[in-house]
Amino acid sequence: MRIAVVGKGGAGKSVIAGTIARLLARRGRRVLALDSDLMPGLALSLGADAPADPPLNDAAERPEGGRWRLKKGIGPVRAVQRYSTAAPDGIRLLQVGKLGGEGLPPIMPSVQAFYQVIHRLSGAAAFRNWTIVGDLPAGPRQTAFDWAPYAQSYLVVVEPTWKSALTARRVARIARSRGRDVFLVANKISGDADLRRAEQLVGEPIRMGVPADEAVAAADRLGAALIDHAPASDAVRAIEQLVVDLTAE
Amino acid sequence: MEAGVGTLLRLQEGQADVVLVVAEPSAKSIEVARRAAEIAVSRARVIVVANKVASEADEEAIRSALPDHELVIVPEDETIARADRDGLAPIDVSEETPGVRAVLGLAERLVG
Amino acid sequence: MRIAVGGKGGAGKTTIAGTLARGLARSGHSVLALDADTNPMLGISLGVGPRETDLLVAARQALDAGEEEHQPSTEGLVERFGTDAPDGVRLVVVSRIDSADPG
Repeated sequence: MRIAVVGKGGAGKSVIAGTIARLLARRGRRVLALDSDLMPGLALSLGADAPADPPLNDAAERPEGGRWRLKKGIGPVRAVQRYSTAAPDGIRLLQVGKLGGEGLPPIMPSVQAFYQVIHRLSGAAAFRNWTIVGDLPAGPRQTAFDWAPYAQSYLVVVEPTWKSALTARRVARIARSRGRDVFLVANKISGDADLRRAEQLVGEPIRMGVPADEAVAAADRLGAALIDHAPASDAVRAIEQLVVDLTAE
Repeated sequence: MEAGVGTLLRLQEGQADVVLVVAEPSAKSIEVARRAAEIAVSRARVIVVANKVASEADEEAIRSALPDHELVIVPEDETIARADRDGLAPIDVSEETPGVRAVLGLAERLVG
Repeated sequence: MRIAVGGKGGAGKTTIAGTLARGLARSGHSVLALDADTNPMLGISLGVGPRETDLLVAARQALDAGEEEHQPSTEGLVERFGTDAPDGVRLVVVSRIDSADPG
């Protein structure tokens, strides 16, 4: 299974991606989690540490006047071996660096390395049996620019709001135009009427709804992974059901 | 101008007079706000807007993470949440609701 | 006065920017609202409605794709790709999602 999680900012992409990754890992999958957001998010949702310096910064170089490339001997396998972060349940997390006061230049090697690694993942035999869960930043941009080439399907997270629905439509359109499978998951849903409203706004069927859940807000406030903070919560139960459905396919 | 963090990076010095960095009371949002403020501080006056604040603990969480910045509080407001959900401008639903009043107060502060 | 609004997605920047713009316009200021987000939604928070917001974004994207006649001047951009929001606010979608950088 190789999925990319997309949607409007704040819809709950990282929480859903992180929880799905943890649940899949607990079912015995080898999971590679990918974080292409220049702002922190997925590590917290996974319950992983965020390294101070981006490990992938050491993986790429740019010779004088040349183009960015992965360093000699570094391909997707070695990149994950050396530069991924350990997350709970045996998950490996590969992430781009995060922006700070100095902007892009200090983390640029990690961004270049990440982009090249993800474009070589599908061809890497060693990862054939791995499950990949990618968390993309908010909005349609990275979908438009192929920041999830490994993904067989795009999981679009949508809240029952107009902004979220318009975003979902935009992203779904772009992903489908590239021949990807797209399915929608509604989040922060309070009852069936809410789910129907989300479907109405988006203009297409939604695969399932994750209920609005105080436990999620509490975990968010703390910066804790939902599955660690509230493993028996309604939201985790719903995501668990989604994982059961996805793995049954 | 409404922009995500990426666009703040592209702001040249002198292009904006004020940068409002919006944070809600979650660890992620606060961390992003911290970084956004770091980016913006060399480019313009920075004001941190603590949004959807539901308690003193929320306010404190944001304030303590961004202690060196001017801070404005916008309380959690169900009227605003509902307006947003329905695709409406909050100010068209109510000028008096606390969240809108706080933003209008900020407007005064900026131009007053 | 030029005000920029940033922060994590979902924190409320668009809602605050839109409300600010309307509030300033109501106090008599002349307000130009520029939506530079890669996922433009400012129209909704300004009160132009979801349909108009979406149409404006599509028009902007068509410009990027070269389907529209190029409008080089700022006035041209505001004129052609702006829309009137309530209280006299003028909204222009300036964002481009056509750049490949990760931002």
